[in-house]
Amino acid sequence: MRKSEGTARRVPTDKAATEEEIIAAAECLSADERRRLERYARKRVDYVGRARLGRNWEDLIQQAIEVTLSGQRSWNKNAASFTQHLIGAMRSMSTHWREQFHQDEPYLESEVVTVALDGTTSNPVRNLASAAPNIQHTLEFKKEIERIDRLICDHRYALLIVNGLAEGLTGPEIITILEITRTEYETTMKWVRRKVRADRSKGETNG
Amino acid sequence: MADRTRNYEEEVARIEDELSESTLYMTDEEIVEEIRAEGRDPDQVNDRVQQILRETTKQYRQRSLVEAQGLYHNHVAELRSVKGDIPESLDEQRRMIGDLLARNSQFSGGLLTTHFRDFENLADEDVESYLRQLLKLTEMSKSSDPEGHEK
Repeated sequence: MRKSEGTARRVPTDKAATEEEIIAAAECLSADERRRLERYARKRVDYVGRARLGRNWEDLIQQAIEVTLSGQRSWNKNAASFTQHLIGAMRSMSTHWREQFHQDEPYLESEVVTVALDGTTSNPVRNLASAAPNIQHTLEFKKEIERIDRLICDHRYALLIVNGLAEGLTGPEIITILEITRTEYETTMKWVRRKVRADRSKGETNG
Repeated sequence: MADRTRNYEEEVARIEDELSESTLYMTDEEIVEEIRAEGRDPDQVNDRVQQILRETTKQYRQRSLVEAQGLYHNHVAELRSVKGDIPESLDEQRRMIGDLLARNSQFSGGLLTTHFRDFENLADEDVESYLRQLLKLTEMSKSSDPEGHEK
């Protein structure tokens, strides 16, 4: 469930970590913290889906450090640990990648087609991957939803939670509606995660 | 048959979004276990992340250094392009600094006085650079004075 990590972009200058402090913090991360960053980055790239455009989890970590060093996203070291800050930066950037990919095309195709003097036409739109899901994509995502449903349908809360998320409900909203504790919610989500990962690993091995 | 009223891609994204957040409440042991279950070595994962962090900070520092060097070279080139004949002998250069300070009363007050007052004690290798900086200031001062008078 999403937590507030105090990683707002606008941090007062006197509270923002210096370049030296950022580099020292990056160097001092523990092995467990580094592994958590890797796990989070991998899952965020899964979330980004086809909007990743060749970028991977390593690019996400790299960019999180770069925006911190450049001051584009300051680290308020009094409000968040360095790991929490990097996770916040990765969340924000991966969401941005996805939104950028799915935003509406700003031009009409007719506006960008050019005709040369010799009559040959050039249409840059034909060279772009469409952001709108086509039928094949729709069916793939439908299969994915059905696959997840099949994996978790025997669990008391899992199917209800996942369906709620798919419909756009937030974690706290689901907790309230199902009258479950936060621990029950988190435990169930970890269980869903394990089931989905195990099934994907099996698919990769078989495929 | 797909339900046209549903956006399945968005639904998958919402689920993946929340699954990624579940990383935050996993224990360290659960994370190690998950990495192992994927057939990866937790130590290698740790090493790889450390390497990414180190390479990124190193590249960032190098880029900052290159930018600083560029600024320095531009500054030097700017000073070299200062109009005005620079005498060859050190004595003449020192005399010229004195003349410029005397002719430009605005340089006699404030910070510039502090900066240049000990010009007679300047190391020989610094004299030409100071003279060029002073000429540059004189040039700037003239360009801000529409009639080009020295004050």
